[in-house]
Amino acid sequence: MVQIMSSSLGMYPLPDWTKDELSKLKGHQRDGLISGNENALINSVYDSAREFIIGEQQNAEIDIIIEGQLRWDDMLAHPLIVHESVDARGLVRYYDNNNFYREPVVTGELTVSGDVAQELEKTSELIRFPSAIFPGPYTLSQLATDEYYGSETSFLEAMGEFVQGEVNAFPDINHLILLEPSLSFNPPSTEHKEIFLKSIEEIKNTLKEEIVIQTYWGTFDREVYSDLLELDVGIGFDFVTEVESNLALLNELGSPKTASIGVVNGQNTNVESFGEVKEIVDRVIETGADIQNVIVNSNTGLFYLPENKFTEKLGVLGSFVKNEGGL
Amino acid sequence: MRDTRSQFRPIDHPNDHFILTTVVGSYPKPTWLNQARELYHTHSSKDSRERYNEAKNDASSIVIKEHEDAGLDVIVDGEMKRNEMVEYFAERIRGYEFNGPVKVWGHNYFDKPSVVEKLSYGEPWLLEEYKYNMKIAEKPIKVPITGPYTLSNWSFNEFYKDEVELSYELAELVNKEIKNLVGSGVRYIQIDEPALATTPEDHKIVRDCLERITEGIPDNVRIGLHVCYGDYSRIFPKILDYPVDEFDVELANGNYAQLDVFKKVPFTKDIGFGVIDVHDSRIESVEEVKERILKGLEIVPPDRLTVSPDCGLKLLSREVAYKKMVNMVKATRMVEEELDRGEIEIVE
Ligand SMILES: [Zn+2]
Repeated sequence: MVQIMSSSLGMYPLPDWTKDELSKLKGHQRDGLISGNENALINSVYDSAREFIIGEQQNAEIDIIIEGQLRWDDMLAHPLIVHESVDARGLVRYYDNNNFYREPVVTGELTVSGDVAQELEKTSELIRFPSAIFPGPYTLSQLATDEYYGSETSFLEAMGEFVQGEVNAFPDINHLILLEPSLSFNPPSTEHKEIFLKSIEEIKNTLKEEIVIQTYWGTFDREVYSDLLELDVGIGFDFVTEVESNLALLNELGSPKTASIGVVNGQNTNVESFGEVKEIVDRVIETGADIQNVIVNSNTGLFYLPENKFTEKLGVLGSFVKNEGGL
Repeated sequence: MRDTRSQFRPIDHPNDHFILTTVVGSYPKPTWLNQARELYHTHSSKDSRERYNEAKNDASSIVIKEHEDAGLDVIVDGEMKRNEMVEYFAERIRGYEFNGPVKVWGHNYFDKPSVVEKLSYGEPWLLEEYKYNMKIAEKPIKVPITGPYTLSNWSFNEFYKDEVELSYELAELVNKEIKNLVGSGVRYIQIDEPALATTPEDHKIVRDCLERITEGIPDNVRIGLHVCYGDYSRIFPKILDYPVDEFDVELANGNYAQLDVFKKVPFTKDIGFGVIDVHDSRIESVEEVKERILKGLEIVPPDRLTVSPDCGLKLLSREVAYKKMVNMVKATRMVEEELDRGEIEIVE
């Protein structure tokens, strides 16, 4: 029997009621950006926003609850942006779409900052075992610019160590999902792939929790996918942008024990029906006998949605599993 | 090639050479206009609405005057009556719905609208704006319109098969709007497509949109295409067969790093050449702007060069925006004089 659970990915929209408060406290534009050194007043607004957003997930009966990353200015680069060895420079466009991030330029050693660990500590005060979402090492190395490590390989290795250090600082969690859109958007060379896989293996070995490598805006290339299968990690797919090619991977190369499937579109206000979600989930389960856990997910973070649609989409995820949970 | 430019040459133009000067569109809004808008949004009464409308008209009049005082050959009203470049149109086109702001990054939000049913033209978009401006302006007016690809790209699409189909539908509506405007006397239209050149393949969609947009538009109407923030190597030289007269680009902000892109093959359209950095409040000297204009002459001869800022000036203070325009026009007139005296070599 396949266990089905609901979750969502990454960054959430900041509740409308906090925006005014934050802009009052932070002032406008440049000064309003997250540095990691916010004062207690600002942090208390984020704390109540976090509490609110966890309540939203509970109301929607989401199984795997996440922190929501409301402090983050962008959906992936944040852990670098707040790091003391990183300069945040000009605005860059994410993956040819309409989301932006400040270019993180690494100018010193990427030591452990514990920034995201702190967010999860605070989450743990509200619920037991939240799940953690963090950008993966390959994606971070693709988004960032190196002015310290000197070669692409040592930069990627350093990112692996950085991610490992950060996630080892986390409190007890449920799952760890590493976001790796760059694996689809710009697949690694063989050499980089090996370094990436080694990092993932090391991270996996140091964690007792399950780890899921999640991509979006495309699908894995076949080599990366079969290597990930071999590592025996959970694998996350974007079924909003790719259906047939994901199913082909599952059919032809096999399936992971845990498959996170992004079926709710984080980039469109159109709210998915129960039937639309069910069709994809059924097709995924039909592909492989190996699948033990299906995490029904959004394909990306939900921050790019207006608040009302965000709430509706959480509702779709939660109620789907409630009605379909005992497949 | 047809000549849509000479109609904008002022009768009393001082030099033999004529390099057209204009601006892209937006201009800093006077503080009292924002106050009037806030009062209207707070009270939404008939009284506050009338005051806000009056303030918008006054603001347009003032900005037109400032553009004329700066010496521009073709002016706009600084888009005083428009909010965002997508919202303004989405509020008028039938089939759109607004659900609230979405996060772009940091604390930058955008009230991204959703297309929830088949789109139709709705109420006229810019006719009222143009008719008012026509009464005020002594110089010719350019009308900027957000292009269909950008409208599509910056909307949630809940109805159409894909972004392409939505873009084509919007292009038909833009065509209808331009016909209305041309019927009222507009002779210079600028299609704004900041979303162009952000993905490798979008140049094809925009070409097909422009075919629809320009369908049945008389030959004497000048059509420009403004593109900013993009990677121009993705669209050049492919854009040279777009059905437009002028291609307007942002170059000053990137310190002309992309200039060489346009030298690969002869630039057979007019170029709207960005010589003012709109993200920097430092006022470029006349000498500096002159140097930049000369870079434009490396691409096209003077009679195909349009001089303008990189993009809309709305992020600057009003004083800085005005001074930048003044220096831009001065520099252009000086280059014309030097051309008249044969001191500048013309390529081609
Ligand atoms: Zn622009």
